[in-house]
Amino acid sequence: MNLRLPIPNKDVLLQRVGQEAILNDRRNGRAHVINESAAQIWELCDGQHTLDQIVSAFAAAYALPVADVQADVQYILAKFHELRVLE
Amino acid sequence: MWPARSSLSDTTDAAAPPITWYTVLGVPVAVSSDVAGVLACVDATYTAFRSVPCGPADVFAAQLLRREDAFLVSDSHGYLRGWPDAHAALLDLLDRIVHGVLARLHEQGLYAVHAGAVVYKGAALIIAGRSGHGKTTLVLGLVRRGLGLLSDEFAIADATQQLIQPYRRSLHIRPGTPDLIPELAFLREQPQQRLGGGIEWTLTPDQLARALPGGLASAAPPRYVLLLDGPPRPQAAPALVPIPAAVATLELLRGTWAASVDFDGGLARIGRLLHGVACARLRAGALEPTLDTLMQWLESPHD
Repeated sequence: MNLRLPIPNKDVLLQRVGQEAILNDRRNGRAHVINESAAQIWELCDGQHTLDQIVSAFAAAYALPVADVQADVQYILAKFHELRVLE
Repeated sequence: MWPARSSLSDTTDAAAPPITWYTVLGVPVAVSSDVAGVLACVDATYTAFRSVPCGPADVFAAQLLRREDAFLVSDSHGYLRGWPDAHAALLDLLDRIVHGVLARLHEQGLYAVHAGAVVYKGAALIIAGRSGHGKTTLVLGLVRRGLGLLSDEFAIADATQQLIQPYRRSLHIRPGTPDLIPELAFLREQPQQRLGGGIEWTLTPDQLARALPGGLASAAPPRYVLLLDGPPRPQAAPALVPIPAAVATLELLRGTWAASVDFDGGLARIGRLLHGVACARLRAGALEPTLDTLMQWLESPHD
């Protein structure tokens, strides 16, 4: 069980555009284009959902087994950390 | 039109400087100058916006005055700068007018994106690219093929109504353009001006409407965005590649004055504006093959 709570940086805003979205990092003026799946994961990173809950919710949204999406969700979260958009 | 620099320095009017009035998308603008030729140059660009004088309230005022050893450019936003050279001062005056108008448009909720815009079957195509990348030529080529002109310089985005508004500034036409758009050959009989991008002619909206079949278009919802990838390469085949709307949004924001003062607001508004819009990056080749490629893209189905 993973109880870690991914928390978005308060200066990073999500703007949806068509089938994609933009993470606007107001601290440094950088903007990151992300796809719809990553945007959904970002929205689940609200400081209320644990990593396991994010995986479960994402899997439910696509009607897929948790095991099928776990690695992808963890990869996206790792990318968010790499971009320093999570606390 | 633009007199030699020496005559500029010698010709001033001791009386109150004359004023020319414009209304640019609802923004009242008063331009005054006591330097000969300056108002005529400004008017060549803004003639379609000429209006009757109005009261001082809400007017954006810009002026260029000759003083003993300098040409002073100032505006009603508190800008003041002296120039030793009248032509440099004129370019600064034109720049101040643009900035003043864009600031007022932003206050009205209109975003001026540095881009051309034309209308194809009731939907707006925004063409963004740096100066010298061929926006105006491409716009003229499309109007020659029957699309309607909104602007060659600013796509005025009304995010509230989800429309691109027409911007009837005169077009600045470079010397090689009539070779590509033969209907504009009459410009060769007109005097040239130096308005910032080299030697140019101005083409008023009325002149364009008479010369090219597409004419002038009314406001239209955005449906297509095209980003110009560098200047045209006439020896190469044109290449058009679809891109995500999010990428196009960021590119358009780079050319949006309002984003420099309110990036978050600009991102939100331009992002909403481009929802459902087909976007592509174009590496232009020779004009006619490029237009063929572009028309094929416009006519193809888009999700």
